[in-house]
Amino acid sequence: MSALKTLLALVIVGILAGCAAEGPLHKEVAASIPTVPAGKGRIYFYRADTIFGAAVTSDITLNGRVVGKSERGSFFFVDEGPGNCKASASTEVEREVTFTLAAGETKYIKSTVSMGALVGRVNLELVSPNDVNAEITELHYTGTPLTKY
Amino acid sequence: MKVVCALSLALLVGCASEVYRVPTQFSASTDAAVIVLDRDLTVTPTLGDPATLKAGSTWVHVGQVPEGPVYAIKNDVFMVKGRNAHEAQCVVADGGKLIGFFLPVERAFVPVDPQVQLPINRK
Repeated sequence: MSALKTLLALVIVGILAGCAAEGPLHKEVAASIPTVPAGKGRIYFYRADTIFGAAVTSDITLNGRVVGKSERGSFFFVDEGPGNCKASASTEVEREVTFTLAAGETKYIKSTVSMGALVGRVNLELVSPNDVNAEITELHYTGTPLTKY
Repeated sequence: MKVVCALSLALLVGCASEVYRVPTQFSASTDAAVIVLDRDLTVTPTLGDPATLKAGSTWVHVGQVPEGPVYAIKNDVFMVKGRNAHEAQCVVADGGKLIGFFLPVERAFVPVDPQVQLPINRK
């Protein structure tokens, strides 16, 4: 019985460990992140490295197109023209966040997982730029490859 | 019994309501009047989750809806949440009473009931 518990624990740890995002850390690529292109704004999407809901992932869409994935311990960014924006994530239900984006502006969207009826739900919310730095430095970059880091 | 429990759980986790809102018309303004909040204030939009307006936050007059003047937070973000999350701006009546929120993407007004006096410093 004890061996069975140990095996179960190892399987769970293995599953959780396997769910973490891969890629360079923010602090490793920060210097290589390009400035926001003229006439565009930037949206960072990130998800903290938390155990709860670790295995739950979802595509993230921005204004109707898939721009990346919500996965544990990851971040990426998208440059977008100014205007109204709608970002969404979907598991058993779709959750969205709507916001405006101005040229030269940077906004941050955090995804979190909450309990669902059958599977966890991925929620999106705007985050104050004042609160982001402490959370994002240890996350893995999962966006399009940067030219150098 | 297990089926009842499962259905109850499903209903509970699935019952988040969308924030109640009504369409409105917005006209931009350039007078840039500013208000600063003295202390935290938590208000609950109709059918939405409680939202906290933070102490020290600065709100700039950006326009008008028929319900009142609209103030947007400066150098920060503010949103109201129900089933979904929406960037929001404050609609403040004369005398500094918060009467609701304006959703700039949806072009909609979200009433607050009861209306709340804002702890503000006008500049």
